[in-house]
Amino acid sequence: MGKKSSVSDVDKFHKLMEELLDQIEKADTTEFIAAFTESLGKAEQENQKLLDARKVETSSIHQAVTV
Amino acid sequence: MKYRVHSYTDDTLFKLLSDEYGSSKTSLRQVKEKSHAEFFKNYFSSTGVDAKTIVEEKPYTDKDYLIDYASYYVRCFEDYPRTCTRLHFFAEEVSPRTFRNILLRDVSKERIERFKTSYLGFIVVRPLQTTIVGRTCLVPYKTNGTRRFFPTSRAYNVNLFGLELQVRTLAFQEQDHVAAACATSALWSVFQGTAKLFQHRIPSPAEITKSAIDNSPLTSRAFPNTGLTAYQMASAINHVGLEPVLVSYNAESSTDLNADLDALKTNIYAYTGGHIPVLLLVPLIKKKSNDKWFVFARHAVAVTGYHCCPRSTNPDKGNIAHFIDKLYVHDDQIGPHARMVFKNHVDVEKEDGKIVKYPSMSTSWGSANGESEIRAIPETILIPLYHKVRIPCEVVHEQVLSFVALCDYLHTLNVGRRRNDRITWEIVLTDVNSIKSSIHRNMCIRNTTKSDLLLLPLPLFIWRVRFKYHSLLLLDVLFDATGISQGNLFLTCVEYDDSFTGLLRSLLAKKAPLRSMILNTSSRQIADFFIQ
Repeated sequence: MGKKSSVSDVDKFHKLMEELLDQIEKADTTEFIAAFTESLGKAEQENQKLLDARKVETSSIHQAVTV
Repeated sequence: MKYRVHSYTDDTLFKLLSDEYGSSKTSLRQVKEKSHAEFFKNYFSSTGVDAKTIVEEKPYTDKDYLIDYASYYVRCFEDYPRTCTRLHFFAEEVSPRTFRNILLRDVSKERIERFKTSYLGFIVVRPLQTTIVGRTCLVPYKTNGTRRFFPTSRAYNVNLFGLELQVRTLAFQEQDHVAAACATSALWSVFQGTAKLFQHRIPSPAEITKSAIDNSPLTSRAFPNTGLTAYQMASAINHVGLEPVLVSYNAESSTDLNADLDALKTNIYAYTGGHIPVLLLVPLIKKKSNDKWFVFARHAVAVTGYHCCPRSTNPDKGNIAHFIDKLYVHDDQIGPHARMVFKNHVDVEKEDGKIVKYPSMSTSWGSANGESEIRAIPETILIPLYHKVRIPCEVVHEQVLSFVALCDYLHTLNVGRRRNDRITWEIVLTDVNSIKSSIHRNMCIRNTTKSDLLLLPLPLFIWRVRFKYHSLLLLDVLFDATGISQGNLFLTCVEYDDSFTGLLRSLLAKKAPLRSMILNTSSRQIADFFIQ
Protein backbone atom coordinates (compact mmCIF):
# COMPACT_ATOMS: atom_id res chain seq x y z
CA MET A 1 0.00 0.00 0.00
CA GLY A 2 1.76 3.10 -1.23
CA LYS A 3 5.27 1.57 -1.28
CA LYS A 4 7.18 0.48 -4.38
CA SER A 5 7.25 -3.30 -4.85
CA SER A 6 10.63 -4.82 -4.07
CA VAL A 7 12.30 -7.55 -6.10
CA SER A 8 11.87 -9.93 -3.17
CA ASP A 9 8.10 -9.24 -3.22
CA VAL A 10 8.00 -10.24 -6.90
CA ASP A 11 10.08 -13.38 -6.39
CA LYS A 12 8.18 -14.33 -3.27
CA PHE A 13 4.87 -13.91 -5.04
CA HIS A 14 5.87 -15.92 -8.10
CA LYS A 15 7.05 -18.74 -5.84
CA LEU A 16 3.78 -18.56 -3.94
CA MET A 17 1.78 -18.75 -7.17
CA GLU A 18 3.73 -21.81 -8.30
CA GLU A 19 3.14 -23.53 -4.98
CA LEU A 20 -0.56 -22.69 -4.97
CA LEU A 21 -1.04 -23.84 -8.54
CA ASP A 22 0.66 -27.10 -7.70
CA GLN A 23 -1.47 -27.49 -4.56
CA ILE A 24 -4.71 -26.78 -6.45
CA GLU A 25 -3.84 -29.19 -9.26
CA LYS A 26 -3.28 -31.96 -6.76
CA ALA A 27 -6.37 -31.10 -4.72
CA ASP A 28 -9.48 -33.23 -4.94
CA THR A 29 -12.01 -31.36 -7.11
CA THR A 30 -14.93 -31.96 -4.75
CA GLU A 31 -12.95 -30.63 -1.80
CA PHE A 32 -11.73 -27.72 -3.90
CA ILE A 33 -15.27 -26.78 -4.92
CA ALA A 34 -16.53 -27.12 -1.33
CA ALA A 35 -13.80 -24.79 -0.05
CA PHE A 36 -14.41 -22.30 -2.86
CA THR A 37 -18.16 -22.38 -2.19
CA GLU A 38 -17.47 -21.56 1.46
CA SER A 39 -15.33 -18.56 0.48
CA LEU A 40 -18.00 -17.46 -1.99
CA GLY A 41 -20.62 -17.65 0.76
CA LYS A 42 -18.55 -15.34 2.97
CA ALA A 43 -18.06 -12.88 0.10
CA GLU A 44 -21.82 -12.92 -0.52
CA GLN A 45 -22.46 -12.11 3.14
CA GLU A 46 -20.10 -9.16 2.86
CA ASN A 47 -21.96 -8.00 -0.24
CA GLN A 48 -25.30 -8.33 1.57
CA LYS A 49 -24.01 -6.01 4.29
CA LEU A 50 -23.03 -3.46 1.64
CA LEU A 51 -26.51 -3.70 0.14
CA ASP A 52 -28.15 -3.37 3.58
CA ALA A 53 -26.05 -0.28 4.37
CA ARG A 54 -27.82 1.59 1.58
CA LYS A 55 -31.32 0.77 2.77
CA VAL A 56 -31.05 1.69 6.44
CA GLU A 57 -32.88 4.66 7.87
CA THR A 58 -31.98 5.11 11.52
CA SER A 59 -33.89 7.59 13.63
CA SER A 60 -30.69 9.61 14.12
CA ILE A 61 -30.88 10.81 10.50
CA HIS A 62 -33.77 13.04 11.53
CA GLN A 63 -31.89 14.52 14.48
CA ALA A 64 -29.80 17.64 14.06
CA VAL A 65 -26.06 17.56 14.49
CA THR A 66 -25.49 20.44 16.80
CA VAL A 67 -22.03 20.55 18.32
CA MET B 1 -0.63 45.97 4.56
CA LYS B 2 2.16 44.80 6.85
CA TYR B 3 3.89 41.66 8.02
CA ARG B 4 5.80 40.43 11.05
CA VAL B 5 8.09 37.42 11.27
CA HIS B 6 8.05 35.38 14.50
CA SER B 7 10.01 32.34 15.66
CA TYR B 8 7.49 29.59 16.32
CA THR B 9 6.58 28.92 19.93
CA ASP B 10 3.20 27.79 21.23
CA ASP B 11 2.90 31.01 23.24
CA THR B 12 3.58 33.19 20.19
CA LEU B 13 0.93 31.29 18.22
CA PHE B 14 -1.64 31.68 21.01
CA LYS B 15 -0.88 35.41 21.29
CA LEU B 16 -1.24 35.77 17.52
CA LEU B 17 -4.64 34.10 17.71
CA SER B 18 -5.77 36.36 20.57
CA ASP B 19 -6.45 40.06 21.17
CA GLU B 20 -2.83 40.56 22.34
CA TYR B 21 -1.74 41.13 18.73
CA GLY B 22 -5.12 42.54 17.74
CA SER B 23 -6.04 39.56 15.53
CA SER B 24 -9.31 38.74 17.29
CA LYS B 25 -11.59 39.73 20.14
CA THR B 26 -10.56 36.66 22.13
CA SER B 27 -8.40 36.87 25.26
CA LEU B 28 -5.20 34.82 25.56
CA ARG B 29 -6.79 32.78 28.36
CA GLN B 30 -9.78 31.93 26.15
CA VAL B 31 -7.48 30.93 23.28
CA LYS B 32 -5.51 28.62 25.57
CA GLU B 33 -8.75 27.00 26.78
CA LYS B 34 -9.87 26.13 23.26
CA SER B 35 -9.42 22.51 22.17
CA HIS B 36 -7.86 23.89 18.97
CA ALA B 37 -4.97 25.29 21.05
CA GLU B 38 -4.15 21.81 22.35
CA PHE B 39 -4.45 20.43 18.81
CA PHE B 40 -2.16 23.09 17.27
CA LYS B 41 0.37 22.58 20.08
CA ASN B 42 0.72 18.91 19.12
CA TYR B 43 0.40 19.50 15.39
CA PHE B 44 3.17 22.15 15.15
CA SER B 45 5.50 20.32 17.59
CA SER B 46 8.61 18.38 16.56
CA THR B 47 6.58 15.14 16.60
CA GLY B 48 4.07 16.80 14.27
CA VAL B 49 5.00 19.02 11.32
CA ASP B 50 7.80 20.82 13.26
CA ALA B 51 7.04 24.50 12.57
CA LYS B 52 9.90 26.98 13.04
CA THR B 53 8.62 30.31 11.70
CA ILE B 54 5.32 32.19 11.60
CA VAL B 55 4.75 35.08 9.18
CA GLU B 56 1.85 37.30 10.16
CA GLU B 57 0.00 38.95 7.22
CA LYS B 58 -2.38 41.75 8.14
CA PRO B 59 -4.96 42.84 7.11
CA TYR B 60 -6.11 39.90 5.01
CA THR B 61 -9.42 39.86 3.13
CA ASP B 62 -10.92 36.38 3.29
CA LYS B 63 -13.78 35.70 0.86
CA ASP B 64 -15.63 33.23 3.09
CA TYR B 65 -15.47 35.48 6.14
CA LEU B 66 -16.49 38.46 4.03
CA ILE B 67 -19.68 36.69 2.84
CA ASP B 68 -20.48 35.62 6.42
CA TYR B 69 -19.72 39.20 7.52
CA ALA B 70 -22.16 40.56 4.94
CA SER B 71 -24.79 37.96 5.91
CA TYR B 72 -24.65 38.58 9.65
CA TYR B 73 -21.86 40.49 11.38
CA VAL B 74 -22.24 43.78 9.53
CA ARG B 75 -25.73 44.25 10.97
CA CYS B 76 -24.69 43.54 14.56
CA PHE B 77 -24.66 46.43 17.02
CA GLU B 78 -21.10 45.65 18.01
CA ASP B 79 -18.45 46.73 15.56
CA TYR B 80 -16.76 43.75 13.89
CA PRO B 81 -13.86 44.34 11.48
CA ARG B 82 -14.32 43.13 7.91
CA THR B 83 -10.75 41.91 7.47
CA CYS B 84 -8.79 39.11 9.09
CA THR B 85 -5.17 38.19 9.90
CA ARG B 86 -3.44 35.35 8.06
CA LEU B 87 -0.69 33.35 9.76
CA HIS B 88 1.75 31.46 7.51
CA PHE B 89 3.84 28.59 8.88
CA PHE B 90 7.24 27.39 7.69
CA ALA B 91 9.36 24.42 8.77
CA GLU B 92 12.49 26.53 8.31
CA GLU B 93 13.90 29.04 10.78
CA VAL B 94 14.00 32.45 9.09
CA SER B 95 14.91 35.83 10.58
CA PRO B 96 12.92 38.99 9.68
CA ARG B 97 15.94 40.21 7.73
CA THR B 98 16.28 36.99 5.70
CA PHE B 99 12.53 37.00 4.99
CA ARG B 100 12.81 40.54 3.66
CA ASN B 101 15.73 39.48 1.46
CA ILE B 102 13.71 36.52 0.18
CA LEU B 103 10.84 38.86 -0.74
CA LEU B 104 13.24 41.21 -2.54
CA ARG B 105 15.03 38.25 -4.22
CA ASP B 106 18.21 39.43 -2.55
CA VAL B 107 19.28 35.82 -1.83
CA SER B 108 20.10 32.86 -4.08
CA LYS B 109 17.41 31.05 -6.08
CA GLU B 110 18.12 27.90 -4.06
CA ARG B 111 17.57 29.74 -0.80
CA ILE B 112 14.17 30.98 -2.02
CA GLU B 113 13.20 27.48 -3.20
CA ARG B 114 14.26 25.93 0.12
CA PHE B 115 12.11 28.43 1.97
CA LYS B 116 9.14 27.81 -0.34
CA THR B 117 9.32 24.03 0.05
CA SER B 118 9.31 24.41 3.84
CA TYR B 119 5.82 25.97 3.66
CA LEU B 120 3.35 24.25 5.99
CA GLY B 121 0.24 26.29 5.18
CA PHE B 122 -1.79 29.04 6.82
CA ILE B 123 -4.53 29.89 9.33
CA VAL B 124 -6.92 32.80 8.75
CA VAL B 125 -7.73 34.35 12.14
CA ARG B 126 -11.26 35.81 12.23
CA PRO B 127 -11.67 39.05 14.25
CA LEU B 128 -14.38 37.47 16.43
CA GLN B 129 -14.99 36.36 19.97
CA THR B 130 -13.91 32.74 20.60
CA THR B 131 -14.67 31.26 17.15
CA ILE B 132 -11.48 32.58 15.59
CA VAL B 133 -10.17 29.76 13.37
CA GLY B 134 -11.20 30.75 9.86
CA ARG B 135 -10.12 29.20 6.54
CA THR B 136 -7.15 27.00 7.41
CA CYS B 137 -4.96 25.12 4.95
CA LEU B 138 -2.31 23.09 6.78
CA VAL B 139 -0.35 20.16 5.39
CA PRO B 140 -1.45 16.72 6.62
CA TYR B 141 0.91 14.68 8.80
CA LYS B 142 3.86 13.05 6.99
CA THR B 143 2.86 10.06 4.85
CA ASN B 144 6.26 8.80 3.64
CA GLY B 145 7.12 5.47 5.19
CA THR B 146 3.82 5.39 7.07
CA ARG B 147 0.45 3.80 6.51
CA ARG B 148 -1.32 7.18 6.52
CA PHE B 149 -3.21 8.22 3.41
CA PHE B 150 -4.74 11.61 2.61
CA PRO B 151 -6.25 11.03 -0.84
CA THR B 152 -8.66 13.97 -0.57
CA SER B 153 -5.88 16.61 -0.49
CA ARG B 154 -5.73 19.10 -3.35
CA ALA B 155 -3.37 21.94 -4.23
CA TYR B 156 -3.99 25.44 -2.83
CA ASN B 157 -1.92 28.25 -4.35
CA VAL B 158 -0.97 30.98 -1.93
CA ASN B 159 0.55 34.34 -2.80
CA LEU B 160 2.45 35.95 0.06
CA PHE B 161 3.58 39.42 -1.06
CA GLY B 162 4.49 38.03 -4.47
CA LEU B 163 6.03 34.82 -3.16
CA GLU B 164 4.22 31.92 -4.88
CA LEU B 165 3.61 29.13 -2.39
CA GLN B 166 1.60 25.93 -2.55
CA VAL B 167 0.08 23.63 0.04
CA ARG B 168 -1.59 20.26 -0.61
CA THR B 169 -4.43 19.73 1.84
CA LEU B 170 -8.17 20.22 2.25
CA ALA B 171 -9.30 23.54 3.72
CA PHE B 172 -10.75 23.58 7.23
CA GLN B 173 -12.59 26.10 9.37
CA GLU B 174 -14.18 26.24 12.78
CA GLN B 175 -17.93 26.85 13.06
CA ASP B 176 -18.80 30.35 14.23
CA HIS B 177 -22.10 29.23 15.86
CA VAL B 178 -23.84 31.98 13.85
CA ALA B 179 -23.53 31.43 10.11
CA ALA B 180 -22.40 27.85 10.60
CA ALA B 181 -22.74 24.94 12.99
CA CYS B 182 -20.53 21.83 12.81
CA ALA B 183 -22.54 20.33 9.95
CA THR B 184 -22.01 23.46 7.85
CA SER B 185 -18.27 23.51 8.55
CA ALA B 186 -17.98 19.82 7.60
CA LEU B 187 -19.99 20.43 4.39
CA TRP B 188 -17.79 23.43 3.54
CA SER B 189 -14.64 21.28 3.85
CA VAL B 190 -16.19 18.50 1.75
CA PHE B 191 -17.16 21.01 -0.98
CA GLN B 192 -13.53 22.16 -1.12
CA GLY B 193 -12.70 18.71 -2.51
CA THR B 194 -15.77 18.07 -4.66
CA ALA B 195 -15.62 21.57 -6.26
CA LYS B 196 -12.23 20.72 -7.74
CA LEU B 197 -13.31 17.24 -8.84
CA PHE B 198 -16.78 17.98 -10.16
CA GLN B 199 -16.41 21.65 -11.12
CA HIS B 200 -18.92 23.42 -8.89
CA ARG B 201 -18.77 26.72 -7.03
CA ILE B 202 -17.78 26.60 -3.32
CA PRO B 203 -20.49 28.31 -1.28
CA SER B 204 -19.53 30.18 1.89
CA PRO B 205 -20.68 28.75 5.27
CA ALA B 206 -23.59 31.23 5.38
CA GLU B 207 -24.70 30.19 1.88
CA ILE B 208 -24.48 26.48 2.82
CA THR B 209 -26.64 27.03 5.90
CA LYS B 210 -29.23 28.99 3.90
CA SER B 211 -29.43 26.32 1.18
CA ALA B 212 -29.69 23.53 3.77
CA ILE B 213 -32.74 24.94 5.49
CA ASP B 214 -34.43 26.25 2.33
CA ASN B 215 -36.95 23.40 2.31
CA SER B 216 -37.44 23.03 6.05
CA PRO B 217 -37.71 26.54 7.53
CA LEU B 218 -39.64 25.31 10.57
CA THR B 219 -36.99 22.85 11.73
CA SER B 220 -34.36 25.44 12.53
CA ARG B 221 -33.66 29.07 11.75
CA ALA B 222 -30.88 30.03 9.39
CA PHE B 223 -29.01 32.54 11.56
CA PRO B 224 -27.92 32.01 14.23
CA ASN B 225 -27.79 28.37 13.22
CA THR B 226 -27.74 25.63 15.83
CA GLY B 227 -27.36 22.57 13.61
CA LEU B 228 -28.57 20.61 10.61
CA THR B 229 -30.16 17.20 10.15
CA ALA B 230 -28.86 14.67 7.62
CA TYR B 231 -31.79 15.64 5.36
CA GLN B 232 -30.81 19.30 5.49
CA MET B 233 -27.18 18.40 4.78
CA ALA B 234 -28.39 16.37 1.79
CA SER B 235 -30.34 19.42 0.64
CA ALA B 236 -27.16 21.55 0.77
CA ILE B 237 -25.39 18.89 -1.33
CA ASN B 238 -28.22 19.08 -3.90
CA HIS B 239 -27.84 22.86 -4.04
CA VAL B 240 -24.29 22.59 -5.42
CA GLY B 241 -25.56 20.16 -8.08
CA LEU B 242 -24.37 16.93 -6.48
CA GLU B 243 -26.25 13.80 -5.42
CA PRO B 244 -26.11 12.81 -1.73
CA VAL B 245 -25.59 9.09 -1.05
CA LEU B 246 -26.35 7.83 2.45
CA VAL B 247 -24.66 4.76 3.98
CA SER B 248 -25.56 3.59 7.47
CA TYR B 249 -26.55 0.57 9.58
CA ASN B 250 -28.97 -0.12 12.36
CA ALA B 251 -27.10 -1.29 15.46
CA GLU B 252 -30.33 -2.21 17.27
CA SER B 253 -31.23 -4.88 14.73
CA SER B 254 -27.69 -5.83 13.72
CA THR B 255 -26.57 -9.44 13.97
CA ASP B 256 -22.94 -8.68 13.16
CA LEU B 257 -21.66 -5.24 14.12
CA ASN B 258 -18.14 -5.95 12.82
CA ALA B 259 -19.54 -6.69 9.36
CA ASP B 260 -21.64 -3.49 9.49
CA LEU B 261 -18.56 -1.49 10.38
CA ASP B 262 -16.59 -3.19 7.58
CA ALA B 263 -19.30 -2.16 5.09
CA LEU B 264 -18.96 1.45 6.29
CA LYS B 265 -15.15 1.24 5.93
CA THR B 266 -15.49 -0.24 2.41
CA ASN B 267 -17.58 2.77 1.38
CA ILE B 268 -15.21 5.28 3.04
CA TYR B 269 -12.22 3.67 1.29
CA ALA B 270 -13.99 3.48 -2.08
CA TYR B 271 -14.95 7.17 -2.21
CA THR B 272 -12.12 8.90 -0.32
CA GLY B 273 -9.74 6.73 -2.37
CA GLY B 274 -11.34 8.46 -5.37
CA HIS B 275 -10.40 11.85 -3.78
CA ILE B 276 -13.99 12.51 -2.62
CA PRO B 277 -14.16 13.67 1.02
CA VAL B 278 -17.15 12.11 2.81
CA LEU B 279 -19.21 13.36 5.75
CA LEU B 280 -19.21 11.22 8.87
CA LEU B 281 -22.19 11.74 11.19
CA VAL B 282 -21.49 10.57 14.73
CA PRO B 283 -23.43 10.52 17.97
CA LEU B 284 -21.01 11.54 20.76
CA ILE B 285 -21.05 9.41 23.89
CA LYS B 286 -19.88 9.78 27.50
CA LYS B 287 -19.70 7.24 30.31
CA LYS B 288 -22.32 7.22 33.06
CA SER B 289 -21.57 6.26 36.64
CA ASN B 290 -22.99 2.77 35.94
CA ASP B 291 -20.26 2.20 33.30
CA LYS B 292 -22.79 2.44 30.50
CA TRP B 293 -22.39 5.09 27.80
CA PHE B 294 -25.02 7.61 26.73
CA VAL B 295 -25.45 9.88 23.71
CA PHE B 296 -25.10 13.53 24.76
CA ALA B 297 -24.76 15.22 21.34
CA ARG B 298 -24.55 14.65 17.61
CA HIS B 299 -21.68 15.81 15.47
CA ALA B 300 -20.52 15.88 11.85
CA VAL B 301 -16.95 15.77 10.53
CA ALA B 302 -15.33 15.59 7.08
CA VAL B 303 -13.19 12.49 6.46
CA THR B 304 -9.92 13.52 4.78
CA GLY B 305 -7.83 10.36 5.12
CA TYR B 306 -7.24 7.09 6.89
CA HIS B 307 -4.56 4.90 8.42
CA CYS B 308 -4.29 1.20 7.58
CA CYS B 309 -2.94 -1.25 10.12
CA PRO B 310 -0.71 -4.08 8.82
CA ARG B 311 -3.39 -6.67 9.61
CA SER B 312 -7.04 -6.86 8.70
CA THR B 313 -9.64 -6.95 11.47
CA ASN B 314 -11.03 -9.93 9.59
CA PRO B 315 -8.21 -12.38 8.73
CA ASP B 316 -10.51 -14.35 6.38
CA LYS B 317 -10.86 -11.47 3.96
CA GLY B 318 -8.40 -9.50 1.88
CA ASN B 319 -10.42 -6.28 1.50
CA ILE B 320 -7.88 -3.50 2.24
CA ALA B 321 -10.69 -1.24 3.52
CA HIS B 322 -11.02 -3.58 6.50
CA PHE B 323 -7.41 -2.70 7.43
CA ILE B 324 -8.45 0.87 8.31
CA ASP B 325 -7.88 1.43 12.01
CA LYS B 326 -7.92 5.27 12.14
CA LEU B 327 -9.67 8.03 10.28
CA TYR B 328 -8.31 11.55 9.81
CA VAL B 329 -11.11 14.09 9.93
CA HIS B 330 -11.66 17.82 9.79
CA ASP B 331 -13.37 18.16 13.15
CA ASP B 332 -14.29 21.83 13.47
CA GLN B 333 -14.17 21.58 17.27
CA ILE B 334 -10.67 20.06 17.31
CA GLY B 335 -8.67 20.90 14.19
CA PRO B 336 -7.72 19.75 10.67
CA HIS B 337 -6.79 16.09 10.07
CA ALA B 338 -7.73 15.18 13.66
CA ARG B 339 -7.33 11.51 14.49
CA MET B 340 -10.22 9.18 15.34
CA VAL B 341 -9.24 5.62 16.24
CA PHE B 342 -11.59 2.63 15.97
CA LYS B 343 -12.08 1.19 19.46
CA ASN B 344 -14.01 -1.67 21.04
CA HIS B 345 -17.81 -1.97 20.92
CA VAL B 346 -19.56 -0.32 23.86
CA ASP B 347 -22.94 -0.63 25.60
CA VAL B 348 -24.99 2.51 25.07
CA GLU B 349 -28.02 3.21 27.25
CA LYS B 350 -30.80 4.72 25.14
CA GLU B 351 -33.32 7.26 26.41
CA ASP B 352 -35.88 4.48 26.98
CA GLY B 353 -33.38 2.54 29.14
CA LYS B 354 -32.63 -0.04 26.44
CA ILE B 355 -28.98 -1.13 26.16
CA VAL B 356 -27.61 -1.35 22.61
CA LYS B 357 -24.10 -2.32 21.54
CA TYR B 358 -22.33 0.12 19.17
CA PRO B 359 -18.88 0.32 17.63
CA SER B 360 -16.93 3.29 18.97
CA MET B 361 -14.08 5.61 18.03
CA SER B 362 -11.80 7.73 20.18
CA THR B 363 -11.94 11.52 19.80
CA SER B 364 -9.87 14.45 21.10
CA TRP B 365 -12.99 15.96 22.63
CA GLY B 366 -12.60 17.04 26.24
CA SER B 367 -8.86 16.34 26.30
CA ALA B 368 -7.92 20.04 26.58
CA ASN B 369 -9.90 20.68 29.75
CA GLY B 370 -9.45 17.27 31.36
CA GLU B 371 -13.06 16.14 30.87
CA SER B 372 -13.90 12.43 30.99
CA GLU B 373 -13.41 10.39 27.82
CA ILE B 374 -15.70 11.24 24.93
CA ARG B 375 -16.13 8.76 22.12
CA ALA B 376 -17.97 8.81 18.80
CA ILE B 377 -20.18 6.17 17.21
CA PRO B 378 -19.32 5.77 13.51
CA GLU B 379 -22.89 5.43 12.32
CA THR B 380 -23.65 7.21 9.07
CA ILE B 381 -21.73 8.57 6.11
CA LEU B 382 -23.01 10.99 3.51
CA ILE B 383 -21.21 11.03 0.15
CA PRO B 384 -21.61 13.94 -2.30
CA LEU B 385 -21.40 12.52 -5.83
CA TYR B 386 -21.48 13.89 -9.34
CA HIS B 387 -24.79 12.89 -10.97
CA LYS B 388 -23.03 10.76 -13.59
CA VAL B 389 -21.64 8.41 -10.92
CA ARG B 390 -24.69 6.15 -10.97
CA ILE B 391 -23.31 2.78 -9.92
CA PRO B 392 -22.73 2.31 -6.19
CA CYS B 393 -19.77 0.31 -4.86
CA GLU B 394 -21.90 -2.67 -3.70
CA VAL B 395 -22.90 -3.40 -7.33
CA VAL B 396 -19.22 -3.57 -8.31
CA HIS B 397 -18.46 -5.71 -5.28
CA GLU B 398 -21.15 -8.15 -6.44
CA GLN B 399 -19.55 -8.37 -9.88
CA VAL B 400 -16.15 -9.41 -8.51
CA LEU B 401 -17.49 -11.75 -5.81
CA SER B 402 -16.15 -14.96 -7.37
CA PHE B 403 -12.66 -13.55 -7.85
CA VAL B 404 -12.61 -12.12 -4.35
CA ALA B 405 -13.71 -15.53 -3.06
CA LEU B 406 -11.01 -17.19 -5.11
CA CYS B 407 -8.33 -14.95 -3.55
CA ASP B 408 -9.73 -15.66 -0.09
CA TYR B 409 -9.64 -19.37 -0.90
CA LEU B 410 -6.00 -19.11 -2.06
CA HIS B 411 -5.24 -17.49 1.28
CA THR B 412 -6.74 -20.41 3.18
CA LEU B 413 -4.36 -22.76 1.31
CA ASN B 414 -1.43 -20.59 2.33
CA VAL B 415 -2.64 -19.56 5.78
CA GLY B 416 -0.88 -22.28 7.78
CA ARG B 417 2.50 -20.99 6.76
CA ARG B 418 2.13 -17.27 6.23
CA ARG B 419 -0.86 -15.67 7.87
CA ASN B 420 -0.38 -12.09 6.59
CA ASP B 421 1.12 -13.14 3.28
CA ARG B 422 -1.89 -12.74 1.09
CA ILE B 423 -3.47 -11.22 -1.99
CA THR B 424 -5.44 -8.12 -1.03
CA TRP B 425 -7.99 -6.16 -3.03
CA GLU B 426 -9.68 -2.79 -2.97
CA ILE B 427 -12.57 -1.01 -4.65
CA VAL B 428 -11.96 2.65 -5.56
CA LEU B 429 -13.90 5.14 -7.67
CA THR B 430 -11.64 6.78 -10.21
CA ASP B 431 -11.79 8.42 -13.63
CA VAL B 432 -10.61 7.77 -17.16
CA ASN B 433 -7.69 10.22 -16.99
CA SER B 434 -6.27 8.73 -13.79
CA ILE B 435 -6.61 5.21 -15.21
CA LYS B 436 -4.89 6.09 -18.50
CA SER B 437 -2.10 8.02 -16.74
CA SER B 438 -1.42 5.10 -14.42
CA ILE B 439 -1.34 2.67 -17.39
CA HIS B 440 0.99 5.06 -19.25
CA ARG B 441 3.37 5.21 -16.26
CA ASN B 442 3.37 1.48 -15.52
CA MET B 443 6.33 -0.47 -16.87
CA CYS B 444 4.95 -3.96 -16.09
CA ILE B 445 2.32 -3.96 -18.83
CA ARG B 446 3.41 -5.43 -22.18
CA ASN B 447 3.68 -2.78 -24.91
CA THR B 448 1.04 -4.28 -27.23
CA THR B 449 -1.47 -4.53 -24.37
CA LYS B 450 -0.50 -1.07 -23.12
CA SER B 451 -1.17 0.46 -26.51
CA ASP B 452 -4.61 -1.26 -26.71
CA LEU B 453 -5.48 -0.05 -23.20
CA LEU B 454 -4.39 3.53 -23.85
CA LEU B 455 -6.48 3.71 -27.01
CA LEU B 456 -9.53 1.99 -25.50
CA PRO B 457 -12.54 4.36 -25.21
CA LEU B 458 -13.60 4.48 -21.55
CA PRO B 459 -16.35 6.31 -19.62
CA LEU B 460 -15.57 9.37 -17.49
CA PHE B 461 -16.03 7.64 -14.11
CA ILE B 462 -14.72 4.15 -13.50
CA TRP B 463 -14.79 1.71 -10.60
CA ARG B 464 -11.42 0.06 -10.23
CA VAL B 465 -11.06 -3.23 -8.34
CA ARG B 466 -7.35 -3.70 -7.72
CA PHE B 467 -5.73 -6.95 -6.62
CA LYS B 468 -2.32 -6.64 -4.96
CA TYR B 469 0.29 -8.68 -3.14
CA HIS B 470 1.81 -6.30 -0.57
CA SER B 471 2.85 -3.40 -2.86
CA LEU B 472 3.02 -5.53 -6.02
CA LEU B 473 0.23 -4.74 -8.49
CA LEU B 474 -1.42 -7.87 -9.88
CA LEU B 475 -4.64 -6.98 -11.66
CA ASP B 476 -7.11 -4.10 -12.14
CA VAL B 477 -10.68 -4.94 -13.09
CA LEU B 478 -12.47 -1.88 -14.48
CA PHE B 479 -16.21 -1.19 -14.41
CA ASP B 480 -18.32 1.59 -15.87
CA ALA B 481 -19.50 3.78 -12.96
CA THR B 482 -21.87 5.73 -15.21
CA GLY B 483 -23.92 2.82 -16.61
CA ILE B 484 -27.01 1.05 -15.30
CA SER B 485 -26.90 -1.80 -12.76
CA GLN B 486 -28.71 -4.26 -15.03
CA GLY B 487 -26.44 -3.46 -17.98
CA ASN B 488 -22.95 -4.53 -18.91
CA LEU B 489 -20.63 -2.70 -16.51
CA PHE B 490 -17.44 -4.70 -17.03
CA LEU B 491 -14.96 -2.76 -19.19
CA THR B 492 -11.66 -4.60 -19.19
CA CYS B 493 -8.83 -5.98 -17.06
CA VAL B 494 -5.35 -4.50 -16.73
CA GLU B 495 -2.91 -7.33 -16.14
CA TYR B 496 0.26 -6.40 -14.26
CA ASP B 497 1.55 -9.82 -13.23
CA ASP B 498 1.50 -12.86 -15.52
CA SER B 499 1.90 -15.41 -12.72
CA PHE B 500 -1.35 -14.26 -11.07
CA THR B 501 -3.43 -14.01 -14.23
CA GLY B 502 -1.77 -17.25 -15.39
CA LEU B 503 -3.05 -18.95 -12.24
CA LEU B 504 -6.56 -17.60 -12.86
CA ARG B 505 -6.49 -18.77 -16.49
CA SER B 506 -5.14 -22.16 -15.49
CA LEU B 507 -7.84 -22.61 -12.83
CA LEU B 508 -10.61 -21.67 -15.24
CA ALA B 509 -9.21 -23.96 -17.93
CA LYS B 510 -8.48 -27.01 -15.81
CA LYS B 511 -11.20 -26.94 -13.17
CA ALA B 512 -14.39 -27.32 -15.19
CA PRO B 513 -16.76 -27.30 -12.15
CA LEU B 514 -15.16 -24.03 -10.95
CA ARG B 515 -15.51 -22.53 -14.41
CA SER B 516 -19.19 -23.41 -14.66
CA MET B 517 -19.80 -22.11 -11.12
CA ILE B 518 -18.19 -18.73 -11.87
CA LEU B 519 -19.91 -18.47 -15.25
CA ASN B 520 -23.22 -18.72 -13.37
CA THR B 521 -22.41 -15.78 -11.10
CA SER B 522 -22.31 -12.03 -11.71
CA SER B 523 -18.54 -12.40 -12.28
CA ARG B 524 -19.25 -14.15 -15.61
CA GLN B 525 -17.87 -11.34 -17.77
CA ILE B 526 -14.54 -11.28 -15.95
CA ALA B 527 -14.31 -15.08 -16.27
CA ASP B 528 -15.05 -14.74 -20.00
CA PHE B 529 -12.17 -12.27 -20.29
CA PHE B 530 -9.73 -14.85 -18.92
CA ILE B 531 -11.22 -17.83 -20.77
CA GLN B 532 -10.91 -16.04 -24.11
